Amino acid sequence: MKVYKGYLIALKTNISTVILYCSIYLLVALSMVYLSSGEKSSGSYSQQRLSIGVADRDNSLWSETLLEYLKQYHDVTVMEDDMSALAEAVYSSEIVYAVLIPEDFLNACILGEETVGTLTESGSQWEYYVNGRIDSFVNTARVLLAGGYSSEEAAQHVLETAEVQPQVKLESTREDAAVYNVFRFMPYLYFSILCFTLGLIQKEYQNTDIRKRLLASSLTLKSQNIQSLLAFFTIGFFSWILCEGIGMITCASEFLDNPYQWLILLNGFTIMLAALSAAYFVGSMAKTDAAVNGMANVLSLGFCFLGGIFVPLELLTGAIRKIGQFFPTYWYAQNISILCFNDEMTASLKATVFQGLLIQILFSLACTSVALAIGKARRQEDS
Amino acid sequence: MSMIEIRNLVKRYKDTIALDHLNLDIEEGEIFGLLGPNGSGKTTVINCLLALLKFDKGSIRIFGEEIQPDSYEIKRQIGIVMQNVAVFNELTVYENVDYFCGLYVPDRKKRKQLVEEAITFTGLEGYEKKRPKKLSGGLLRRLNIACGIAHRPRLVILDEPTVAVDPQSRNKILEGICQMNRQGSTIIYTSHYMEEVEQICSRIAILDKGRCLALGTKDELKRMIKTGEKVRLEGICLTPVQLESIRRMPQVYSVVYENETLTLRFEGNGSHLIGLLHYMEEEHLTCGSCVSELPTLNDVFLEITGKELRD
Repeated sequence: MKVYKGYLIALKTNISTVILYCSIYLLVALSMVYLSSGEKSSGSYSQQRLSIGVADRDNSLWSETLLEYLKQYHDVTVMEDDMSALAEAVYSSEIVYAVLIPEDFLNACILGEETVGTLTESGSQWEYYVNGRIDSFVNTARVLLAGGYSSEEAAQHVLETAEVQPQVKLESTREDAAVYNVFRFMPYLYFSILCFTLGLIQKEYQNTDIRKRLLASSLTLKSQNIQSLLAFFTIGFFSWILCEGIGMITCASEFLDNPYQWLILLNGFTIMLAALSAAYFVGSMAKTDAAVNGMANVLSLGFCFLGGIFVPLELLTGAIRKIGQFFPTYWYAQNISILCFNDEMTASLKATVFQGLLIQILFSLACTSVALAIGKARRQEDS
Repeated sequence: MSMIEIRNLVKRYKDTIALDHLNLDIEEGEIFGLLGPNGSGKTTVINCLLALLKFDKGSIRIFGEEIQPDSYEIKRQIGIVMQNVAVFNELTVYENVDYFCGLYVPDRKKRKQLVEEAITFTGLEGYEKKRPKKLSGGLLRRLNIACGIAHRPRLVILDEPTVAVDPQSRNKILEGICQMNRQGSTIIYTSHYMEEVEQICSRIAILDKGRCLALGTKDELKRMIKTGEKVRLEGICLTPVQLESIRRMPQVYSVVYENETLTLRFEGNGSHLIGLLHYMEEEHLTCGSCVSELPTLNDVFLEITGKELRD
């Protein structure tokens, strides 16, 4: 098992590279966990009640109806008809929005073209939110009055429409942002570690003189190939344990809560296989250490940028997304997204996940075949 | 029966004939030198011997058996030192020797002893933990040799092991080769340095364009050529009569007299300088300097091929 051991001994030389990449990854992963823990509280869907101050100059049926209407959505405080006092209240954040109902509200605003006076922080999200509510009130009232309803009936119906609450039921209520953010970057770790370390070792084994030297020895060619393959899988397997282990430790509780933890690990295993084949490719093609470094960087960064690892898939434009589909990282990213943001795995989602796994494996086979074919052509050229 | 029998070996690279009906017999216990200029076919012979190259015609028998790519039992008894240094940059000196020794010797305890012996033999003590990139050219060559001989092979093939090596390391390598031979290993040594081959080889084959031009001991080779001793006298004034007398001296092959410098070539073996000096004494002739050179393998090569060995 000398060839096999040779790989492992040579790996020892590059252990500093492995530690370096793991440290960088751990740093990024921990930052992601920290950031995603903040995302969770603000990311839930709930109706927000804003504190609104209303000054009523009309004191009519319709101004009171608007008051009641707004109370159903927000915390309304009736305030004095004093613009400077209203402005002061908004400025001191006592209220976030001030509504000034003008005199003759029905004719001026509902039947006429005037708008309700408002005061808030310009461009704020609640400006749009409350304006939308007031516009909705005015529009509903207009429709009902135009439809022949009396003012009392119309006012009653407008209030009833406010009572209708939409029932929003999300397909998934689970958001494993921590797991997603940690495991999303895993391909970079695999590609960096394996391409740099195994690429350098494989480059040595592909060296013509060393290959000749091994062929001149009493070790059978079959045994050499089996030992090389075994060494590749051993290193790949341990890198899988290491990388997934780091990921699991970084977000342990969230990971254990995830019902698809085994699929996440399997997804990691298939991308590890892809990285392993890329490392073999790099080692077979490169002739110098500098070439290994260059190729490893191009592959790991290129795959991760175009495959939706560094930039979420949703942000990739059409053409780049199409190109990205040629890379295993794209399918890894898609799988990890499905496995982290879906509570129930429908048949189509399952099919998508397994398709992604299969494509990653096919990529590994294709990459290895290309490397083998080019290697063989080179050997023939040498002899 | 010879240890190695090469019969009618032909190897072609497309239109180029690398080996042209080569026949060689190498006996057990000798240091056999393959001498020839670059591209003469030395490395091709080695590659064919190790079944690393398929040849077009002929046969090679080592230890009485025909060599094939899967002749692992034969390969177990052969140690090879490649022309280019073939070691792992990722491994230390010790790990490299242990690695290549491990390809032949699976027993760890026995291997440890062999590796240490190889390191001592090549003078690499103190460098065991260094990586090849940190070694000088000479030390790297010695590591290459240590990797090739650590398993104590019966037959050691050294393909130009002293290329780009400083004289001190070269002498150490040559001494080591002779020592290996004394310990019982048969050596095949290829080089285009005739001095090295002359110094250590018991028999020599001169190759050119894939053909064996001459084969024998160095003395046998030198006897094959017409040219013998070469004498050069500088600062000598000769009359035409004296020059003619010298020309008519026994065994004189050629005489060139230019600018008060006389160059004489003699036929056959032995030194003719004394006879010449006697003649000069009789004629009261003096000279500034006198140099006598016996023929070298380069002269042999020059006479056989009409070109210098290092052309």
